[in-house]
Amino acid sequence: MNIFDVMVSKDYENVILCHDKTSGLKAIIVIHDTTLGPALGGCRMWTYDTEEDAINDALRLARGMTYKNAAAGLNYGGGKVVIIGDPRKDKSEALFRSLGRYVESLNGRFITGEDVGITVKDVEYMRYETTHVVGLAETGGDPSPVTAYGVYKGIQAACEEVYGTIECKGKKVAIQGLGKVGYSLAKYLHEAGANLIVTDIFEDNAKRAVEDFNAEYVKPDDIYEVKCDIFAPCALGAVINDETIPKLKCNIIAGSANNQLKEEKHGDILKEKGILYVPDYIINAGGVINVADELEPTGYNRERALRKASMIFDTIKSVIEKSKIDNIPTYLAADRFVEERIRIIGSLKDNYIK
Amino acid sequence: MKLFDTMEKYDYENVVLCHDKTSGLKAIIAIHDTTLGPALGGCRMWTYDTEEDAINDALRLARGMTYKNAAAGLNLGGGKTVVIGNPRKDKSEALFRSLGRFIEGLNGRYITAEDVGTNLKDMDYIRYETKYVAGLAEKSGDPSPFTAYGVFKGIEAAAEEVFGTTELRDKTVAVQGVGNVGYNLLKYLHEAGAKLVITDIFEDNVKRAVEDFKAEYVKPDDIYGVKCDIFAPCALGAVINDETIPMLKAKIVAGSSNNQLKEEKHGEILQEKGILYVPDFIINAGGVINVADELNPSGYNKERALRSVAVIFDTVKKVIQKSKEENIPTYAAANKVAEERIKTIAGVRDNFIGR
Repeated sequence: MNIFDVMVSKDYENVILCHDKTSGLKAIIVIHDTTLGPALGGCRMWTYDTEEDAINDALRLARGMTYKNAAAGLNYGGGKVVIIGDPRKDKSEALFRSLGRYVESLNGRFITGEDVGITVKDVEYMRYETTHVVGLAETGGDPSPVTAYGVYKGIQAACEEVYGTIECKGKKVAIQGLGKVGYSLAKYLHEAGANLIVTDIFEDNAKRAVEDFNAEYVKPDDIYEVKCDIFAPCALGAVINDETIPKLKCNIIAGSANNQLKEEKHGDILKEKGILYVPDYIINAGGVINVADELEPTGYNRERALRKASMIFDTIKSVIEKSKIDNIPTYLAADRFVEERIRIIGSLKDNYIK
Repeated sequence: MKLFDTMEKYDYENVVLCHDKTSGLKAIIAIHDTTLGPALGGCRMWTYDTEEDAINDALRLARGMTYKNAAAGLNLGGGKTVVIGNPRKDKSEALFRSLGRFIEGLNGRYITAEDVGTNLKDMDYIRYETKYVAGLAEKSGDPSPFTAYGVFKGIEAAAEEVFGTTELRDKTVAVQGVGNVGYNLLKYLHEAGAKLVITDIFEDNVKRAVEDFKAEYVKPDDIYGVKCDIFAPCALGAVINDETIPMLKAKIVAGSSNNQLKEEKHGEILQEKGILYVPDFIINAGGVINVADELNPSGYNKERALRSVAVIFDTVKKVIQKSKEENIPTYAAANKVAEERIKTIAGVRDNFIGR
């Protein structure tokens, strides 16, 4: 693997390997782009088969954060840290404190938080050694309601485009996954008067939604072919693929799950079929918007976080507009929208002001 | 290539890959150990064939700096930067400024300086973006006289061990390479009354040495077989090898060049033959000691730098002592001196004394 080849082709800034003998830490911090500000991205822990897999994952995820943060209108760049290890066996105070020291040594160029395999407790250990962490229990709290709110605003924007109104009253929404975000989203939609069809692999989750929001339950495999206006994937990635697309009977796809398109070509196919796909990293940015609010000089404020998450409505309108003007799929329009923002803000910085 | 395997085996802290699209920068900053303080090590620029070669070079050199800085008594860890590129064609202001920004981004954990393929002008560009650069022209200046002074003090220490006196009067010293450092060393040796036999591949270097210090010239290949007390390699690396060892008639090998032993086994052979080898990274630390003096809060001071360099005398004595006590070659004893200092200071510094 030639790391520099990847760094050159996708314009990465840093790949930082971190090792600590005492704690056994092996971690990779990747900083993709800091044009807009410090790189913000979570910390993931996983039993990677090879060092190369771990580096590739960190590279991919860091770049994703550049796009997500930029699209969310945040003044943050993109980064990620990946710890090689088993989150069930290899965690220790020493491990996270040694990583915290490396994060601190980057002097704020990189800010991290929770991600897959990491808990609030792990983040608190990092906090012993660095101020450059977010997502602590006592500050921002659970981001799920804010993510859900952002998805709801995104659905409204998509509705305005497709149905000429932001009203969700009477619209049928099929929700895949009713965990924290899915449940919260169901609540917003129910209050707006939408009819809900839901599924979840965990019976408790499904039951709760059926009871609380008069939702109709279908089996996990049946959710794709539900006749509905909006399909909201809020669980797994890669659910838009060759097998599922022919089943879809919706006009809009808009949900909180990451990496919804199995491949980019599936975004192209949706466009051909006249299904409006709301790009995942745009619509699910409420979580990162919430966490980033902790970094405000005045401290975290839930109202402000929700206000910023509601801006997702406007972002999605802009992305749809761009997709129509350039006649390109929405996932591509989203990328261009982001790249344009980074370029414009980057060139603002070429004057001397202090 | 398994980077983490190497990092684990030799206990590295960081490998930092840096890329900048505008300038085309591709650089690797390796931080080996910062127990004693920020990692100090030069910036090398070279046309590496592969990324792997470049990373390996950065790793190897960074670790060398940990040992060198620790043995020199500096409060500095070991690191190194390698820039991938041709120093004659690929340099630009943008290149070194973008590197300077990445160094600044490490917030003082790494301090850079000149090295093979980079010069003072390049350092000045780095300086535009970061204060973590040492070895600037207007501060510590040319390190050669300091390196030479350290080698001279190291030779005195070795002489005391072998001849019972630090006096070099009438001792014969064969100096291989009389460029910047070698010439300055000749000056010290000449003033101490030593007899000098020299060689160099450049005629003007030879001429200057012969005229200024009444040195006797021999051809480059003949320097190894010179009947002398001390052999001082001040040019190439790997000059102590299977071919040269049988030719040596010196009792001491002590000079400024880097990596004098072709392999570790050659250090063992010297020990068996009763030739005292003064480990290169101990005796040639004068340059880095001088550069490090710039980092003193009160600014660079030449007298203090020379005083710090003179400590090489004591370090060499300590290494020889350890080599005798443990009956190990001096190169191994030198590594132990460095490792023990790091371990001891880490232990001393584990209490809380306020932020």
